[in-house]
Amino acid sequence: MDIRMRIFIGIIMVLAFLYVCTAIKRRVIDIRHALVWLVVCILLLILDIFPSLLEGISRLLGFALPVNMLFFLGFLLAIVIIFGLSAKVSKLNEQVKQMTQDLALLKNELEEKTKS
Amino acid sequence: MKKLAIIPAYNEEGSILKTVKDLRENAPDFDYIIINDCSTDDTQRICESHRLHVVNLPVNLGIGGGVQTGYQYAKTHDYDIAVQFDGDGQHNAKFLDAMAKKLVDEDLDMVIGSRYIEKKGFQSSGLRRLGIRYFSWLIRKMTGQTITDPTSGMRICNRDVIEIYANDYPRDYPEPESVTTILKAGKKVREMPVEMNERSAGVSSISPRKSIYYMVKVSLAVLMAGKR
Repeated sequence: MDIRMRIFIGIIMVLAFLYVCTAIKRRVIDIRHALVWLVVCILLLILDIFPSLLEGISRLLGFALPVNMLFFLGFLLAIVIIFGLSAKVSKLNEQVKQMTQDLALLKNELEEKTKS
Repeated sequence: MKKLAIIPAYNEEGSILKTVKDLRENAPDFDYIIINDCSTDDTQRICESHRLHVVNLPVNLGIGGGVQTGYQYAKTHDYDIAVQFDGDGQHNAKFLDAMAKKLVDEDLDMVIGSRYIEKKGFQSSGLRRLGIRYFSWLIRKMTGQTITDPTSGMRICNRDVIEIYANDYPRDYPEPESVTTILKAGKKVREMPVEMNERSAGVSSISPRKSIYYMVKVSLAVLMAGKR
């Protein structure tokens, strides 16, 4: 891999890592949800710093260029995270629905009681 | 025997009073509860000024979440029978007593009011009918039973089904999926002929733009429910 590209990817990963860390500090994101992003950053950074590792794996799996392997890995991890978020949204949706229903029924009961 | 009509209402200011009047006159044995799904029009104000029985959802849940709230109300208030009765004037209350009688006499779990047995009253547009025939076919493939009007919202059911629906009910376009679920659970479902009207006010929840989503989503849901 070209050294310029490695430096570029390395800087991006470090910046992304720092950005996620400040987001945790400012409580923009919960640590539980941030952890997976930090893992992705570190993983890609390791492969970027030790290209022999990346070259070994990509040869093993039949990737023509190690950098393709790096991109594929990043893409795959992002897809996994996004699917996890979709599942989380579904669950939140269900929880909000249940709370809405409980609240509405309780309010109705209260109104009926005060009416009579 | 305590009987409840669940009236899901989203922006039905033009027809809600007529719906309740129809119920009071033609099905006086039924209590009713309006589930106001966070309407943006005057539905809530009209319900409250006429002192109608209403549950106001603080957040819009869509038709499935609204109807499910009605089943939860039926469950907590200990009703023996619940029927879904649309707030837009499409359903006729004069059929409810006959439907309840059939449910009790024949010891069924659910009776569906079908537009397509005697083919009287409003029959829906051609393309919609084609979709309904397709769902009817799909449900027959999955369960072995024929439901001529699987999208009919006019459905009366007993305690068992109230309990099932209070716990689990599809969020949007719920009818074909929820009927498949109870057929698969071994519940006895029959249909009887009813007449429906064209909606008197408001708009259908299924716009042309959404109909593709509707077909795909409901097909998948029926398949999943059928495989359970």
